[in-house]
Amino acid sequence: MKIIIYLNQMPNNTEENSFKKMSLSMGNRVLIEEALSLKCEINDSVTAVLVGDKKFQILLREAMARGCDQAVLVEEPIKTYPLSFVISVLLKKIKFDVILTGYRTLDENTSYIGSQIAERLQLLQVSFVNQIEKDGNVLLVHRQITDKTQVIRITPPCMLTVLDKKVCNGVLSVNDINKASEKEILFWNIHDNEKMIDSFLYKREWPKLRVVEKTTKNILSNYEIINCISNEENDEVKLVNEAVDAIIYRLQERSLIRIR
Amino acid sequence: MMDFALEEKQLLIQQAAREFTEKELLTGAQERDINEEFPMDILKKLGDAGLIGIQFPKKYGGQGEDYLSFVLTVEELCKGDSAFGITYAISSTFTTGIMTFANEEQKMHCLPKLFKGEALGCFALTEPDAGSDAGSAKTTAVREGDNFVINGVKHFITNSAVADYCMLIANTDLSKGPKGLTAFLIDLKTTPGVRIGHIENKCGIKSAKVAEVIFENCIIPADRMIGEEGKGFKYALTALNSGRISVAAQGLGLAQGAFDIAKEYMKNRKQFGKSICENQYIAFKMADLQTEIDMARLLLYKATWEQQESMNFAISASKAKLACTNLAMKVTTECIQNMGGAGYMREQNVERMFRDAKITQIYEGTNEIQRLIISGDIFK
Repeated sequence: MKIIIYLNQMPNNTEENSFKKMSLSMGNRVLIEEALSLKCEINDSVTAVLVGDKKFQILLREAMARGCDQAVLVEEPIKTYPLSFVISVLLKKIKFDVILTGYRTLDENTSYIGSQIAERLQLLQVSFVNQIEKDGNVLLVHRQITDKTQVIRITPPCMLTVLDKKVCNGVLSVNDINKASEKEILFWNIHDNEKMIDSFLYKREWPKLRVVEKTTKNILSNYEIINCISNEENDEVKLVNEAVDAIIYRLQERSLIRIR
Repeated sequence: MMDFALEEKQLLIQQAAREFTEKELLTGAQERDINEEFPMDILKKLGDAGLIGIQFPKKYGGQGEDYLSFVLTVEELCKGDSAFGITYAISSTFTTGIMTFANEEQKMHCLPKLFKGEALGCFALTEPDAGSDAGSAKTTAVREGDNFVINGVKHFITNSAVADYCMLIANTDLSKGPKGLTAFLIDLKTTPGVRIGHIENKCGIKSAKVAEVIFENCIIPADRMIGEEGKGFKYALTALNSGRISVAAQGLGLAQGAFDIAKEYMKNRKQFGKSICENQYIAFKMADLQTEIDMARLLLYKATWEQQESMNFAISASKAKLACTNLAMKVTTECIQNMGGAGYMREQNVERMFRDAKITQIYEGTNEIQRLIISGDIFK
């Protein structure tokens, strides 16, 4: 299985002194951990992709020291909408089965990039994923929704947006750092070979937002919700449920809504 | 233009050391301080993470990185547990001595095991009557055929109670004074006639084992002599110069560690309806401390750079040791004061750092000796 993880530039803000250092945030480390857990056969690989200038190379080097097989730095300091376009052009050139992105998918916290890439590549997307299991060529994905966890069977290729959680991967070792230092980071600059993208990126006026028909509907057969487990009801969820019931009751009372 | 940025690999090694400290050292530091036990199991894990022997060649099991990577590692380890950090650093002083002056066979005898974290080294120079005046060491090594017979007592030897190897400085010709001093490689645990005497009860660095090493008609083969006869004092001073840089790194780690704890505490502790860091008096004190930490760090990194560039770094090492260790004492003292009663209690760890900081002004050449070296250079 070829796995791509899309890292963000979110800084790890635990560093104190004036010799400031950049290191992978917990969200990024969760992605690496999940990707490595899916990698179990010899031909499997994990590719880390990051958008930013050369100073972000160290994040990719750290990702490789933590187990990623290769790394690509996309040198495009641009906003979400064209960025998803750039990434999708890149990803069309790389063979992959699964793309993992973080919950806070992009550096501006917009969370759109994952969905936009999925749409552009016509991929299935599952968001709020908190657990991924591998069952042969099929993935069982646990999706967290307020008070429930859906278990979804999904056949790759797909895009998964993974929630932040505690990481348990081990301490970095100097041997791994040495191995990572010997590997090459691929630099990918869209201007090198894509003239038509160039004109797209620097158009002064962006297309107006419009609702488009879901492009993924033709691949929905690869997607099946097989189970839905209620989480333990905590006080917060209970309060929300009570509030929703009360609102619905009032709306019904005034005949503003009708529930069949 | 000068470049103050660390290289990519140095940053990653610093990150590895930081993660190791957070995962392995922080939680048990208080307990080890109370029980005064050195954790050999954690040392093995440090070896597995490739953090021992960073600055030494791969041929012997090291990592072949630069000296600054080692300094960064000591600094990070000492933020969490400086007793562990100094055990690591002193073992490294031993290794520096062996790497620089010992022959191939002697190197292969001890280095691979040290770098795997399966053994520790120590450096035995100080004697009851030869502290700062190290040249007057009275432990004797008398040649008898193919052997040397060693007699005498070394004391205050860091690591000796748990170490496997020792770089011993003994006198082969008392009439020559310091010029009779010669270095030897001793297997502490297996050589007959060597035993560990009194284990010291200390104010700080409690889990680092400091003890007396007693030699009573200890016979070692002559091929365990390091380098040339009569050059021991020179070898010792060279190893100590590197040792000074690592003690400076310990001081810096202690200062930064205490500063970080106090900073968080001052943000969260509320009195008179506001965080105590909103009071300018103590906030300004923190501003001064951080400025001084940065100053000391620059001095230390400069000394390390000179060492890496094979320049004469002795004076810079002394300056770095003087600045960083005095700073460790100052920062830990001020941080306890800024934290009030809580700072004085064990739970906050700054109290332990305060006790650990004191020794950094004393060992690896007291700060008075460092001033002697620096002033000697000024008025030469």
